[in-house]
Amino acid sequence: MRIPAGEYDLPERQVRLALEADLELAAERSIYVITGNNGLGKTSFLERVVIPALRREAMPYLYLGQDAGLQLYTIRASLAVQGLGLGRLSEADLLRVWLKQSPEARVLLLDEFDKYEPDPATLVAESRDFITTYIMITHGDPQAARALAGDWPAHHLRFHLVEWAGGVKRVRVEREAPWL
Amino acid sequence: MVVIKLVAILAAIIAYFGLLGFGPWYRQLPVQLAALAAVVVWDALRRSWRETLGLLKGTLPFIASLLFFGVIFQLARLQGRTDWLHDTLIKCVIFPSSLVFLRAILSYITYLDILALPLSMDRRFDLITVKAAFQKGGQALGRFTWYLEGYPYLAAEPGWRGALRHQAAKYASLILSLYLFLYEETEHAYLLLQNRYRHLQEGSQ
Repeated sequence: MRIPAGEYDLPERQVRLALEADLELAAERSIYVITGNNGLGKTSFLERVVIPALRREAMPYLYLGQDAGLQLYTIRASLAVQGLGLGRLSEADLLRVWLKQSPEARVLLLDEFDKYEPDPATLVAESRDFITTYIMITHGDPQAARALAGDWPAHHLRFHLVEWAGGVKRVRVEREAPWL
Repeated sequence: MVVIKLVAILAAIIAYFGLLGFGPWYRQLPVQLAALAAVVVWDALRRSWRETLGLLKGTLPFIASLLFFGVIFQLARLQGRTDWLHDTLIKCVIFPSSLVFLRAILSYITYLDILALPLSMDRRFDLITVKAAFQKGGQALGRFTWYLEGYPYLAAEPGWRGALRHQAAKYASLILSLYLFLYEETEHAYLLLQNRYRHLQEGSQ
């Protein structure tokens, strides 16, 4: 599936994004590393553009949000409803079970997951058999994030502030040539 | 003054449920719909349309299951009754309307109001803790719903049985998430409050 290039309004963040190139998701193995300053709409882009598109296409995905502490309640509860007794599991083990329960997922989105346990490397290692596209927002080293997918084609999406006028930030999303 | 305010709020709640929930307007669907519209606008003006609609969205699985059983009971003419559908529709309106009404009216009770109540400090702690936890719970509800909609193992299966199982699993997960959250949040808020109170007391001595 494809997120077409074009303009995307994110009114709740007062951001207008200009996506310069199409994003191809789950067509082939790939990793997208997203970087950019705070407040440029990276999370909103995932939650208001990418994830709704995945839902419309009924493309199974897994998303770990920035508020993973809050999200873990839903993971623990939903897995318990599936009949898995998870009361004593650590958060890291809980996420491993969550991944194992979701082999249908084709896209894994991690929003600033660098700061949580287990680290993204573990999550990628545990999901490589079924995930075809990783999308990661990071404030760390993009090369380190890119290295997680090994020899898979990797793309770097940079969020740049172009202009801030009339209370709206115009942000350009540049897609750099695939890393080799 | 605070006591008068709280009594007025309590009286409004009793009046609301007395008239619409159990009283003379219970079976008046147009009145129930008007009440729902009014409380939705009221809550949205106090908070935001997004928050109000988020709360309403959170009630949808429960409303869907109510409707489902209402239709089944109507078709089966359970207990010889033929008014199951009408009764179900009323409940489908009352449920969200009551939630929104309670959230809107209880938002007028502030922490300062609770502190000014003629109660022991322990009881005030309890009330403050409950208010803090439920306030956070209300905010978390929409986020929980959104997350649960994305988990592949909760995705709808084909057929009406699959759809029903999916809704039930999602709704059960939502309730359980909220319970776990409130349980931890209540404990956390209570400990935090006690800790701060103790430090304030030590500082003032």
